[in-house]
Amino acid sequence: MKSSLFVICTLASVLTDASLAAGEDAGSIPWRSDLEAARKEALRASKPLLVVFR
Amino acid sequence: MDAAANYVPVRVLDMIGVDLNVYRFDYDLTFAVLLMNGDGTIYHRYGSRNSANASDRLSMTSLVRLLRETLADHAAYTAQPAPKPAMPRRVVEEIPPLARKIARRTREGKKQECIHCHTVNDTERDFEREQKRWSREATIGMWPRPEKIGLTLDRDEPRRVLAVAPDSAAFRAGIREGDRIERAGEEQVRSEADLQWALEKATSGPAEVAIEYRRGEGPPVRAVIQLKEGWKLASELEFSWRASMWELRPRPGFGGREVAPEKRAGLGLAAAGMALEVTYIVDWGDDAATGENIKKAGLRKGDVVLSVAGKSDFASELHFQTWFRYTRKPGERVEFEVLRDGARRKLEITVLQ
Repeated sequence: MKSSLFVICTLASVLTDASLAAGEDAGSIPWRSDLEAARKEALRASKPLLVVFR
Repeated sequence: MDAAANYVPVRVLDMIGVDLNVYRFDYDLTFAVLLMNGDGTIYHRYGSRNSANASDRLSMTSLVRLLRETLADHAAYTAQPAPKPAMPRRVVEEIPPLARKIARRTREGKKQECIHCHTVNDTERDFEREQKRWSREATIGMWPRPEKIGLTLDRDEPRRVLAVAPDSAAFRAGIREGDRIERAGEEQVRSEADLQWALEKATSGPAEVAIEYRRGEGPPVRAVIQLKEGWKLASELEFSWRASMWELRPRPGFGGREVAPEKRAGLGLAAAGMALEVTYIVDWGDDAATGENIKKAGLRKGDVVLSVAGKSDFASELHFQTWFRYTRKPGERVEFEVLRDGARRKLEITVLQ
């Protein structure tokens, strides 16, 4: 439940204009910044890729 | 649900190196999400907006719902993967107008700035103009909102139809309030952006879009939405939020900020109606002539523009800027009413190309 709330709060922070930095500080979502590396990681791990464009 | 553990999350702030043939979304948005497989298959899109503001059509409820539902889609796809044939990689920095700009900056020893998402649209448009294949209609018809076919979707549960405009294309196809949209074209619809993507791929008309919807617990209903010529075209207000708007012509040659409501009475102005304080007159780039034009006519910084061609009911500065570009024609005379030092005066320009 805690991680669920973290996900929601962190994505909520991404949703708002003022909180990009807050999203990074929250630390619950290990945002990657290298799209191609993340794509390969998703393939290796058989996980879907969540790409946020800001 | 531990969505963080179930996804590989990546945040992209710079469009350099992003393959435009894979990562396709509405590039004018300031927030967009793709949920996809690492093989390039996009399951769903999220992110949409209207002219009112950037967050009206976003909600945590709908985003979290989509994150949950997409896990099932991913599991189903992983059991039977069907990647589409790869297209050649296409990146914005290699499209000639931007490539030249970057090369020039490099020669001048300047650092390359971050490439924003909307720059993709700007660059595509510049390139199309160079090749004489740019279409104003394609620009103002990009990423049609569901309302263009008559649908208003529930923000929190985007498949659910909140309202259907009477006599709209969706109404004629049989869709009614409370129905749930399941598919549109080739897309499984789980978000407003999914439906917009299906509509984006249709021509501006006449066009047909296959749609599948459910009513209550009933079976899926298949229908075809028939769209008339020009159905995609956004009104001036609908288009006004897009960064792409600024590149349309003709342009007034100035801009500014709306006078704050608390200051209007002090200026002797009614609570509603245009009151645009001029904060800049264009004196740069290809457009400097438009600024010179309005300056010669008598406009100054600090003037408050009250009407243009007799029209004053603009919802915002962006609405005015878009209206001017949509409706004024080069060579036409246009009158402006402005307020300066407590006195109203009129000035007139001939609109430049």
